[in-house]
Amino acid sequence: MKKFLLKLALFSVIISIIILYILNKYSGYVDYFYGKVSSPAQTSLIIGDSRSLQGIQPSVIDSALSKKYELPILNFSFTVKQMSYGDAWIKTIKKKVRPETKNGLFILSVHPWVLSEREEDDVLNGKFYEEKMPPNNLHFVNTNPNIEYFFKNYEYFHFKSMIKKISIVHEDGWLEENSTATSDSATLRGWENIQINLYTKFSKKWKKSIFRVKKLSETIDFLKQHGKVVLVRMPVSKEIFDLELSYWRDFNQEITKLAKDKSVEYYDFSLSDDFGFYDGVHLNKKNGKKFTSILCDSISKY
Amino acid sequence: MVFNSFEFLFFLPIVFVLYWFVFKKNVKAQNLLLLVASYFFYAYWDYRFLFLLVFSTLLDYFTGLKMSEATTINRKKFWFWLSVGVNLGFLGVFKYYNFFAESFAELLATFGFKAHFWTLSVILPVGISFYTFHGLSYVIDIYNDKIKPEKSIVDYSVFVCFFPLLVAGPIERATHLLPQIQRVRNFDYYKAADGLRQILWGLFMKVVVADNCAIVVNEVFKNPDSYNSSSLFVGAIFFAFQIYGDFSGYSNIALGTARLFGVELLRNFAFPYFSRDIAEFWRRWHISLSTWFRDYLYIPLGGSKGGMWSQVKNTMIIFLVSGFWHGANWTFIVWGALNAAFIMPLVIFKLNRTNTNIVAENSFLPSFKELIQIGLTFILTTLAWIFFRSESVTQALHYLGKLLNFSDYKFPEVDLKPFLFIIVLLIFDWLNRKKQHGLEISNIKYPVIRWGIYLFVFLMLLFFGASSDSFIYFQF
Repeated sequence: MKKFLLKLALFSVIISIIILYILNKYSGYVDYFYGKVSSPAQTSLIIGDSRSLQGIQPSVIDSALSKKYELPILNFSFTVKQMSYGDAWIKTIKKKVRPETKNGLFILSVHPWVLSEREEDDVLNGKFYEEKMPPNNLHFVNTNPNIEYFFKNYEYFHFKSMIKKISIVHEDGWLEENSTATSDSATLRGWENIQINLYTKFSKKWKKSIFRVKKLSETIDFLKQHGKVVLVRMPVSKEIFDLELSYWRDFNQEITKLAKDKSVEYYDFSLSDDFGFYDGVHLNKKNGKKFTSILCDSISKY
Repeated sequence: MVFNSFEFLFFLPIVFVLYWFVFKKNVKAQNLLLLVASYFFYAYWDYRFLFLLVFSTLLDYFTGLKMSEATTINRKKFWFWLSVGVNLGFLGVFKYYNFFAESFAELLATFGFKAHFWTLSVILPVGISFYTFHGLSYVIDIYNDKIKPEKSIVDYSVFVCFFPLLVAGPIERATHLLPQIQRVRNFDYYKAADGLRQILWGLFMKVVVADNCAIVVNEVFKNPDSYNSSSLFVGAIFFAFQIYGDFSGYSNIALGTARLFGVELLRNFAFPYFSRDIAEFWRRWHISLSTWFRDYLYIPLGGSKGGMWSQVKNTMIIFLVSGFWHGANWTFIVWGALNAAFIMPLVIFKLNRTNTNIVAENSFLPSFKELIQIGLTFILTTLAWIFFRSESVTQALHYLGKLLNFSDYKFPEVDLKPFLFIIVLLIFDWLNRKKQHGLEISNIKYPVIRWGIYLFVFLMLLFFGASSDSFIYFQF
């Protein structure tokens, strides 16, 4: 038995070392979220879904605003599958913000879908889909290595991606998506159609949620204690915007009112046609940089 | 709980430690632990069906005792048919009721009658076909005076629901497993080490081979009209390896896990795709089910004793029943019938026991003749698998029709990467075809090479493992 256990332990140690080495060196390729929950608590955060995950580049903010705020900023955005403002997110954000922060910068990406009630939500019983998703299913969001993440969310790991090295989540949390670099209009149109179909499906199954708007308000309240909070509605294509408009006509008015009540800024870029998307929703690398610069200008101005 | 989950990664070491360290001196306590662990393992999937498993276990346990106590043959028969009737009744309700109701309604409709039967909205309890067959074999063996009934309810319950075999077999026999449960089990380093190798190999078969093939198979079988014929050909081959990787992989993990607890389960697969004819294939594929049908159906029906006609009839029956066992769908019945048709010439010309040895037993590579035989056997089984995989017979025929449209053979439009994993699988299987499983490499002298192979398999899992929630045979 001793021999058996020793050999088993040795094998386990070897494979653990291999996994930890890969995660340490290539986590940006292997998993889109591991780096975000294995970095230390932060002074500044970008919070949102894949729009801000790909479209807001922390390095641009760091170089433009480092004198005004406690930076660097971490892009703590996930995807629309995981992100909706609610208690679970407030809990996670509280863990991710360094407690002594007083002059941080917190950019909250908002749009109708992250403030909606989904078909899996059970509002009456206080059960929400995002509780089971990373990072909200974790007790620890600042530990390296994050063993808890590995065990709970191993399906997000794609070790073969470190060989292909196509897309990477940088240490600052920004997702550099390189698989979409094409100018072929048919391909781009195809990708946009996928998004239109997806959001059309959402609009039929989901409903706008006063509850989640309230939770956004609570998120702002917490973050305001640690610095400046801005709300951003990121640009999308005309087709996607029209879909969002028909789904939630007064969205901008409601968020503007909330921002006013909370004394925070709301920047609505939803209909800016200065940017190029690869699928109508996500900004490509070049336009992400341009957008982040404009966002920095807006933040500096107010 | 499934074997390829992190939950199992925690569950298994906990049970292992309790079994060998806490309860090691007391076989009764070890058995009780196995029983509790097995019920937990099952309830983790759906606790609502645990009662069915417990009821089925208690029923067979008590009817077994009652049969041995019976003073008259009629009383013995009563208890026997009670057990068989209730067991098959459960199976019928949960697995086959809707099939019969719908098929009968369709049949009446073809004669112009309109009929409506209630269909049940029931979930099929996982493993019901397997544990029902465990129980049935026990009851039949007692009825035939082959075994004495088990007195200990715990030991008997462990025999029925020992967690490695609970949900997808192998289908055990009381004569084989019960004595192992009753006796004191000592830790055997070589068995346990090989058990771990077998688990690793099972995971490779499931996660790397089966789950990667499944991605292509699901797409091709869902939209056959969107692909050219060669893609459908690839899809059919991939399904043959998906089901092999899935089920044989599961069996390897089950057998390996059981060996960690000092228990040897019945072998379920013996490198079936190296078979040189269909008869040999059926001696190597899902062995525990084939032998179950042989012992409890084919032989009681008369087997090969009643002359050629009887043998043909009985062979046909067991293949049809075997198809039906897999599921309440005509696709499975056609699959069984096709296999019966493939094996029939061998039965008629008494060639069904031509290939009872291991292929290329005394050489490294097969002869040209053996290679052709293996290839032909594989093609036949793959053709039958198309029915097994399809949602309906119409869909299978459509798939087959398009597959045989040779003018549409162009370069396949599907991901061909799974072929690389299949090649790795076949190399390991071929090199170890005389052994119990593809990673039985304890004979390699140098530990560095052995450990290098383990790491290679592990890295394959890490880099090329696809994910799926379940095993195909859980539905049966």
